[in-house]
Amino acid sequence: MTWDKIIVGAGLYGLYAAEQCGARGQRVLVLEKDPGPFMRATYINQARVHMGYHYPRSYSTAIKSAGYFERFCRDYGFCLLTEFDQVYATSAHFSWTNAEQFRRFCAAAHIRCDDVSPDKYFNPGQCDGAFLTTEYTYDAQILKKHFLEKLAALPNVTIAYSHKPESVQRAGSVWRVKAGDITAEAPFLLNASYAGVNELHAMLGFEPFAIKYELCEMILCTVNERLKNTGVTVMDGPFFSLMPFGRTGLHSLTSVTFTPHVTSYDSLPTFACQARSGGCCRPGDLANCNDCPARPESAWPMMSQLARKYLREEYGFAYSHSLFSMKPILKASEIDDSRPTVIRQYTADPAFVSVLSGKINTVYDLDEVLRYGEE
Amino acid sequence: MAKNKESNFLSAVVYLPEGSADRAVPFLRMLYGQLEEHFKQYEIICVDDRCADGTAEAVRRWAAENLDKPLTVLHMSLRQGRELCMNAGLDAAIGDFVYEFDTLQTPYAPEMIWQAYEKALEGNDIVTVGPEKTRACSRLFYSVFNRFSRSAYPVGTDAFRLVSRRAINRVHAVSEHLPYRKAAYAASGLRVAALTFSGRLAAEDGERLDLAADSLALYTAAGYRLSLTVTVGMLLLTLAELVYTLAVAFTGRPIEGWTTTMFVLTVGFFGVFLVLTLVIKYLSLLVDLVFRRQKYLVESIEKLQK
Repeated sequence: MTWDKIIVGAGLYGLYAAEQCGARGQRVLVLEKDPGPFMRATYINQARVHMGYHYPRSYSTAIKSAGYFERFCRDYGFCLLTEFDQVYATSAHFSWTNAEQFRRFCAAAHIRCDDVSPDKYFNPGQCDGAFLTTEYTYDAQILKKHFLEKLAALPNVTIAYSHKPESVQRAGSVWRVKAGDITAEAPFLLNASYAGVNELHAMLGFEPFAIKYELCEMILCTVNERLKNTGVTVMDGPFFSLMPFGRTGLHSLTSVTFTPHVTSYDSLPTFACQARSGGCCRPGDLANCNDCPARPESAWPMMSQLARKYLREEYGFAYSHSLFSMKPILKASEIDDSRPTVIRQYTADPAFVSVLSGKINTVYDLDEVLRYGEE
Repeated sequence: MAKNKESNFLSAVVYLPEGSADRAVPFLRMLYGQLEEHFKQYEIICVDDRCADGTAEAVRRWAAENLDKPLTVLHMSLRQGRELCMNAGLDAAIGDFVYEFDTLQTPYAPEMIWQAYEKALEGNDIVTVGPEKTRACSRLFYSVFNRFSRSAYPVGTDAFRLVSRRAINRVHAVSEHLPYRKAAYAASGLRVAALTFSGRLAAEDGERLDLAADSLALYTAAGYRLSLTVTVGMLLLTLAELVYTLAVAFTGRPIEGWTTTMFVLTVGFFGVFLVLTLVIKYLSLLVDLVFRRQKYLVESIEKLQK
């Protein structure tokens, strides 16, 4: 069957692209290897709608995040949790950024940063500054429902779950994609498969993205009254974040040192746990870590200990469950801490575009490339 | 037989000075054995004081082969000495209790590591483990220190110590920097217990004299008390001199001008000593104000109710 666009990956970027193109009357096919949408990174992350605070060493990332923040809140406000105190703090020790530098950075990026006493939240001497900020968290399940409703109203968009592209070939000016019982052709192929981005590149012989892969654990916690309407992020180094997880009533606990369990530097990631996955995961075909029998043991003892060292005793939290997912990180962005959205077009006719972004609200970066070939 | 391990999270901070390439791994092996035997959750933090002799590499190699619990190696930017390094390690530690190993010497039985923890659970926030016999100069320093110190617990030579998170929070609340941890703990107002073993600790080089002077000035009243004693002594001498001058003036026949000269000298010196004492009093007050942010310390609150 012939389509205008084939999109690989039913995460936020894939479904956003499908909705945009579908609304313009294009026939779109979305191929997703999991049995449903939003089952990996779109769901399994801190659910932070970035305002830029997270990147005190990269003004460019910060300013871009802040720019898209308002637009995202306008378009998807229904899935946001906005009524909570988001506290950013700079650790007194081992931080790459101190309180004064963080204040200056926020002023330069024109984002809110109100001083509060670190003693209100943290144990003595642990943080040299604490700031109330404006930052929200999104609920992936509500967002998913929204996209599914929108797409259900577009008969020209089809999503095929449990369909992983097995082969991709160029056939004149279209791509021919085989995925299970589907053989589809389109002049435009969008690769929005995040951690699987290099899998399609490998099939087509395109240059892989220079990324490392981290198998990450996000812990969901129940919290007490004191912490219920508060999110805490300690910056900028080996620290932690404990913030509301969308509108679920739970908090997500992550830490820079303990969230990543294992790392692979191969362009198609190889992990020791793949051998124990029962054959469902291998380099070039990553399974969903969250359902994997070989998923690692929780780092809760370490992560909770780290958070407790900082947080005052009255802010209570307890383990609920863990979510695991694979996170690709551009190798170039470690020193300056930037998290750019990379959109790379490899061919023009037929068009092949890959997108990789670690942030939800930079999804608008796709707009330009989706219009390609329409003029 | 499966043993019930402690569920408190333990951190062990180990100082690695230059020249410890051979000693680091045996020490860590011993430490790892003890922690593994008794604790469910723990971490080891090594502070590499810019060792150029391959200490860090040896530790890394050993950890890669043998360790399945996290090991952090803090690499200092330049050589900074024991106290600063241990402070860095302490800041990095996340445990409920933290072992501080200032030295790699182990003249004690490995079980003492666990005994220190048991001692801590009896309600001691700080447990020090030191030798029964110490060197003469250490004894002298500590006796001066303890004589003038305001804290309830004496400090002495330690091989290692165990501190609770509560104690760490407390010493940081009292003062942001800890130029001399041992004294800060002793002065924290929390309960300190000491365990001893019969071996000896060999001397380790370092900027001992400087540290000794600093800690006497910061944690004890030695400076002020010393100057006060000198002033009082001088005051008495001056008074005697005054009496003698008057006696000579009235009874004898002093050379013209002698009485006035002596008078000016004695009264003048008396004034100088008095002013100096005042200055030192003010200085010690300033040190107090700058250094100590918390004025009173509470060990515990006991409420008796009918």
